[in-house]
Amino acid sequence: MKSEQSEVDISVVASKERIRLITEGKLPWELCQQMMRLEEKDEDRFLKYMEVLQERVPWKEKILCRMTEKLYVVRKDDGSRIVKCICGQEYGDYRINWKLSCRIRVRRSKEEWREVMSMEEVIPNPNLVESREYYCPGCFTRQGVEVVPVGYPAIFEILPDIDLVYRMHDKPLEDESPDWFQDKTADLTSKWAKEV
Amino acid sequence: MDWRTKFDSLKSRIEARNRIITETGHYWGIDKFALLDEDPVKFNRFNARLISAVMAAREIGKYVAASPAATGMGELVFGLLTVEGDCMAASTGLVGHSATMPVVLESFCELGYDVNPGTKHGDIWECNDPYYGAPHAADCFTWVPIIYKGTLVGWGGGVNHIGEVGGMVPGAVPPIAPNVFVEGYDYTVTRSGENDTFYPWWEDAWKRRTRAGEMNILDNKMRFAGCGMIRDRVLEICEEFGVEYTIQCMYEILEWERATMEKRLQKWVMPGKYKVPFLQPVKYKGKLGMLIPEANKNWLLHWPLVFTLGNGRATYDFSGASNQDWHHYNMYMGGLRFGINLAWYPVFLIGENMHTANIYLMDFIRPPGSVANPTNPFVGTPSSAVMGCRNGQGAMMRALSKALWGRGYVEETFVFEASDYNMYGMSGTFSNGVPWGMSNFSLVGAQHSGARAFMDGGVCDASGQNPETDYGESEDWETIEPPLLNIIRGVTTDYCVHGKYRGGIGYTLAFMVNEPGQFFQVNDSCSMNAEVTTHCIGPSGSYPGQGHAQVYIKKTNMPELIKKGEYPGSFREIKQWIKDGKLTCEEYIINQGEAPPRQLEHGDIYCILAHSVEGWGDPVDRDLYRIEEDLNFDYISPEIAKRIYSAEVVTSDGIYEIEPEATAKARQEILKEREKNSVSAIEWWKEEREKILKKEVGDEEVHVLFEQAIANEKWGNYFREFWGLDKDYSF
Repeated sequence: MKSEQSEVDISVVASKERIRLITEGKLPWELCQQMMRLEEKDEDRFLKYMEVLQERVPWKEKILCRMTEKLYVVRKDDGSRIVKCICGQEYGDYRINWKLSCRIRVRRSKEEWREVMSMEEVIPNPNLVESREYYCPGCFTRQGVEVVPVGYPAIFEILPDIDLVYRMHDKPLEDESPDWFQDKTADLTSKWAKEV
Repeated sequence: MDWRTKFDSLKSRIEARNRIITETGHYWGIDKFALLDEDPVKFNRFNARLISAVMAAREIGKYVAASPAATGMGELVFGLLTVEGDCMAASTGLVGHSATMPVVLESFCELGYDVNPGTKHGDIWECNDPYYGAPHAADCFTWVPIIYKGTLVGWGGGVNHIGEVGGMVPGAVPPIAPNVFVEGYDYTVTRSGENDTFYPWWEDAWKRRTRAGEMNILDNKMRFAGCGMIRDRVLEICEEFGVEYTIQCMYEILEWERATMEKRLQKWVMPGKYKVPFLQPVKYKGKLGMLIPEANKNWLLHWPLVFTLGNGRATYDFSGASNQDWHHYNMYMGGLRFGINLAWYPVFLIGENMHTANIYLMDFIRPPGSVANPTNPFVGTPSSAVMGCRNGQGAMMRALSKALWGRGYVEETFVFEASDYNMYGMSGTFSNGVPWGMSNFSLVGAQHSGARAFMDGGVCDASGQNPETDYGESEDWETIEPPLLNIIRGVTTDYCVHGKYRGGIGYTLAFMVNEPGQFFQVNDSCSMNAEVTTHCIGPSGSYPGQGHAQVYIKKTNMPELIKKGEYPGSFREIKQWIKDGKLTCEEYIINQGEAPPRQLEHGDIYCILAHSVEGWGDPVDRDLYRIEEDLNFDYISPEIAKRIYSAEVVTSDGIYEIEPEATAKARQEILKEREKNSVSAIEWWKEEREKILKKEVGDEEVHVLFEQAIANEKWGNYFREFWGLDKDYSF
């Protein structure tokens, strides 16, 4: 039950440079495996990771956490926390499903799926599901995809508990509040409902 | 009160354990490691003895069996359980199955069998009934009491997956089994022998109730042999260390492991709420007809797992899951815990002990009467284990991967398709009139992994159920499926999900049917996701995984071709040969997902296209050198490189290369097309809402999915709020 941490130097194996390289998909596999084999992970990883991410974006707002490959939650000067794309496009309050700030392409036929799927024999049944591709309105990166029945709510993939993670690292955010860990998507859809 | 209190039954003892854990947060209230602190060397020596006992049980026990799964793939696990049934040390092998041992032991205690009829040294106990905690009928659990001078010290347990369960549809996991009366030989909590000897009628039941009796008897003897070995080693350990020390130390180890996992859960994952729903189609319509009319329909089952992580605890919320019904996808707790541990072990368990203490960090919301918590004791269960995998392992690994990635542990992102085993069941009658039946689950042994956040998915690099295994030996499997001559085993070009990092390349098995005798049929089970994708979400802009298919090519000239020494080397070559007229056939049938029994004859070809797993990120961000590698390994074709990745491909001395400038230009065009072909979110929302209001959502099973999900108060409110519908709206 108690095994000793193998003799590795965590400060090297999980250095900020290696975190940067693995984040960019450039760390050699052997060194990735070294990171995997760490029995006790470097406890300040999250803070180092945020620094690495911050250095990769062309804007200055502080990154609070990461949502997808190119989407981040950042804190604005006015105290709001919003989702922002690496391209600079801002999506609004992170507690509202960011997909509802995207451009959306729906595919509802096998013909349309053939453009994105390469194995003919296993293309889905359009009578059961549709696919939704969520594009950034700024750079048109495909930020997300979901394959669901028509009428299924857009899936809010992650609602991070940002206050909790910073408190765990002994760096509590000055504006922490239980309200930051609330799904506010309905605030937007209720507004939209008034238009129909 | 502690474990030394005299309890009148094991049920009372379990209740006390649960109460004390709830009150103190510690296993049996242990907040200090007295034995560890007193003599750490002795403590660790003790633990090493226990681990070696369970490992030896597996390594030696498996040679009692005869099935290729046990001897070749090592599809079994042994564990040492505490008096209450917690597994405190399990062997390698089918690690997830050790998590079901406590569920079955709890049933044993709940039924009061420790009191009446009671148990004694030499007893052998068995259960494979999902209602009482087994993952499904194929996962047979054997256990024996360990009693030292009148004191119950714990239990030695073993599980393996047998090859044939005796259902209406043959094999290990029947793809059609609407109720427990046709799903195979389920035995409840049963004493199968005394004095280390099986009752003669127990062995006879295997012969009469399953199609592979001799094989199943040997598997049973294997399980008992391992259990007996564990028992005898622990009795020796009691003699050396003392019985009080033995029991207390086992509890301290469990508490240590529980606390370690709690710490890792706190420190490694991004706390938050993760939605990881998936759909499970079930196709019975037209197959059962007058025979079982209540099951003559199709379903699109909704598994809307919401996974909440925070403060060292994990909550699994199944609110909105489809109703239980007459199909084989009803999931009990044993199936779920089995699946959960398949994901937990590789992520959070890094020490020496394989254990089940993580259950004390989890909370469950399982609506009664749903597929996630059946209340009808007769609904079918063969895929209880499979749904446990898809939720506990597949969906949860996707959530955990994102949670680890979000916290910065990028190297830990890892997903694969937990349940896509592509197990196929068979039965037949040889030309001499001898009937037979079996299943082959070699594809369980080496699955493909999805893309990680920093690299492509692997090919045949993962096994969810048994981290140590591989496919086993093809020749071994052929001995139990004589009519199937294996002609193709290999990856299939273009069978992958694309992204910045692509998923693993899908695999194909193909067979020619060779002199099957009087009759031969094959069915395909555990091949999920017919006509949908493996999960609903693709990560960071990739698509979700694509499912399975079987291809049946009837009445071919393959026997003649083989006589000339020719046979195809890949699925693509099969298709090309048919196109060229070299391979002739009368019928070419494609079936997605699970397949009902289909009769095959000499010369027919049976192909299994065994799934692909999701990628990561947007395909237009894929590095060109990765595309070139895929082209030159024949993982993807030039056509797909162009269509999916906008890659301008050229060849130079037979080597594929990509023109960077032309590709960059083509990718810019793709982005413009995206702008042209997309709408704003509010436009999409209005159009989709209109479809909901008009109930234009697809086939009947989709309507049923929404009716049932919306009837759940929590999911119904979520749905109504999303679409801005009245509080009294129902579908």
